[in-house]
Amino acid sequence: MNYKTIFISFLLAFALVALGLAGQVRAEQQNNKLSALGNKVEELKKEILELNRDLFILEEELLFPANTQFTVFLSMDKGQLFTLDSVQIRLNDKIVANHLYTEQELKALLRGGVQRVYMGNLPSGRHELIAYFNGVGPKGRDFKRGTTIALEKSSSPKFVELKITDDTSKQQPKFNVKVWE
Amino acid sequence: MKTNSKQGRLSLFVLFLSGYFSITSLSLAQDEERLEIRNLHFGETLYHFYQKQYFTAISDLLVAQKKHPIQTQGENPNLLLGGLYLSYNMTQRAGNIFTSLTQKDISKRLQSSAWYYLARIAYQNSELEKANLAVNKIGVHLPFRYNDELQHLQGNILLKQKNYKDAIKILSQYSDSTDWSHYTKFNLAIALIMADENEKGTELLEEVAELDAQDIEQIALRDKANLALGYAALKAKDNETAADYFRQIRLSGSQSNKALLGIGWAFHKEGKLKRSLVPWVELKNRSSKDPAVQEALLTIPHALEGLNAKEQALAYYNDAINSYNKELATLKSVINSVKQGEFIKSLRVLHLHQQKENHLHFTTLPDSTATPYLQSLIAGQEFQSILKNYRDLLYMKNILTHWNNQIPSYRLMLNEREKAYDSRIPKISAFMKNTQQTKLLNRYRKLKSRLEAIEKNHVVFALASEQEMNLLNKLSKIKKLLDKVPPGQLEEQHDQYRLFKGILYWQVATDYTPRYWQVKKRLLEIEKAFSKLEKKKTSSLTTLVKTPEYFKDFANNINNKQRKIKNLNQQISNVIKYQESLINRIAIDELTKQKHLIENYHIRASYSLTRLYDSLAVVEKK
Repeated sequence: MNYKTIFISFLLAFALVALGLAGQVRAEQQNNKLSALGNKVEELKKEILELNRDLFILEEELLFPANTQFTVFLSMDKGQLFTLDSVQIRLNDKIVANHLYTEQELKALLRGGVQRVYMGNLPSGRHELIAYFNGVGPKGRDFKRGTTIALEKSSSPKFVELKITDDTSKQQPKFNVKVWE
Repeated sequence: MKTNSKQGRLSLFVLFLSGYFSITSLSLAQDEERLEIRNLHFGETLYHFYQKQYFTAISDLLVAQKKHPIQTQGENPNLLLGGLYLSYNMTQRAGNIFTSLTQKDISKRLQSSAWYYLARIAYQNSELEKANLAVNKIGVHLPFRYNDELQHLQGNILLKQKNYKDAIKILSQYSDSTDWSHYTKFNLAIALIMADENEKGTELLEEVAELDAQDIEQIALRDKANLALGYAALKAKDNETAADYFRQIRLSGSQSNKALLGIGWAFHKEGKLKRSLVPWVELKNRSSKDPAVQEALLTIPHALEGLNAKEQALAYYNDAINSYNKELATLKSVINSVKQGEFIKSLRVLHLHQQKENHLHFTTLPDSTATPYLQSLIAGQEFQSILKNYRDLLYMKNILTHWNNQIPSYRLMLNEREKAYDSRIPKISAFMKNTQQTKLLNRYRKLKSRLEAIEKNHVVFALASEQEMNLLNKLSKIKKLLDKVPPGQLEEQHDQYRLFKGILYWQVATDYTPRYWQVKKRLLEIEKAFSKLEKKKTSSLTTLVKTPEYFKDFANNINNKQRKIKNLNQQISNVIKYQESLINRIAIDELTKQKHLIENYHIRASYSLTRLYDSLAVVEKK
């Protein structure tokens, strides 16, 4: 081995050791920074989530006061006899909501999630709600169905749940309406 | 084949699948059981949770907790909130919730779930002792569906603690029927090798290496097992076996370049230099940004030298030096562009294109000149976690911007309401001052006392109809006429008068009770109407008094929120800036590391080139 080889090997070895040590110190510093930053981010997330909550409440109180608030939800049972494509909500013969479902939304409904389809204002008194459901029914056929409900709105908020269930005895989907006070 | 060198075992250890657990993150979102929904707001939270929209789901649940507390779902909302915080990388909050759940008098099943999540949080935070303690508290009531995850978690904790004996005990209980079995088997193999049970470990790793893979994740796992076995065999100088393992790896996959490099080394070590050139030359045609390719640029002339093809070796060393120079120049310019914010800009653009609120991973790579050099860094668990926080911060900044834009419309709406209210004040005041109500009330009171007198004195004819009263009047007139006639005359007419009056009395008297109740009912209706009117008046009065106060409170609330938005916006901008500088730092460190590696190769190539020239010169002199 000539002097040049020895010199280069020495340089290389020195460089590698130096790099390794510097890397280790830097990794430790970085971990500490990461941990502190993680805590700061979590604290910020908490504050923003709380602010978001308060602003949602403020908006709801402003746009949909309790005495006129009216909300329509949609839920699904097993969904073996009906695959929901879209839904339309009419209130007193006026279309107030249309929704076209994505695969992900359908999965969420089938697992027990409840969707808020519409939120609006209704004065006290009698009203009519019609929901039209479009989708694929038993044996893969196109399936359209409407369901009507007469509502008595009082001065407290009203929640209506549209429930799509499987009627296994008739092998047909069933569309029920449940009113929550 | 035995993996008995210490270095070989260590290189295997770093391969253990510590990340898989947190990547798949089977939290509540993957529960197969369908919860019975007894509260719409809880159902709504689940709807967003199942779509991995954690921010919206947490917001929904927080709104519900404040406005319509969920009382019909037991402790499920708390468990869900804990799971949501965990999914949203808020481990401290999640930990607080799960800890408080473990202290409550709740079902053992829920308590076990809470301990399980606490163990996961502690593991995620690398608090292994704490994680172990939590695991020991889980008990036997944990829902069955968590069993495989728990086993994987326990195994990972023990592996990280280097407690291989107990890790083997736990991981050996794996069930072949679940998706987790291959991953558990992989980790068990590593644990066995680390505990010097090489044969058993290798056998298991071989099982994974021969896996009949069903999906891309399993293929990747199979490649990883073959790569681990291949390099372990190389270290153990069992070169032929090593080559066999490397051959099992796909030609185009994340491990393929390393496998080609390994095959080359296996042949080289066996002295089959010509054969070693085949995979290495194949590597040379691949992207020069890959470290395996960069190494191959050096191993090719090294093998050619061994074959005494010195002229060709010279050419390849020159090629390598040129390639390293080019790569070093590119890296220098990439580092400069990263320093100028090009990588961060590409991340921001990527975020803009991300439609969904949340992802566990960045599925699309950022369009940056640095990306080809940072692929393995980006795929790493730690960097993914940093990116996830970065994306969350950008998302929250958007949320704040949205609310900030909404504030003027809320003010406008409030002003409109105030105006509408002001316009109604005269009408309300007039209604309040109306005297008609007092007159009507007096009339009602008179009627009521008259009815009471009728009832008390039983004045039957007081409830007679108009027609009956006419008849009674006529009969009175007839009576007056009859009274004027001297007694003893018109006896028959007297009798007729008595008969008619008796019939009339009978008629009215028999109908008295229903008539009385009819009148009383009407009076009660009037009384109710008065009471309703009174309530309305009181309510109007309250509104009149309270509404200005309400408007004032609302306006204050809006102002406070706007101040808070401004403050948080400032904070989030600072943290984003800090996060960006951290991402840049990590990226530059990684690029510098690669630069040093290439510089090292460059030095080695230059040295070899000099040495080769020297030896050729010596030959020429001779």
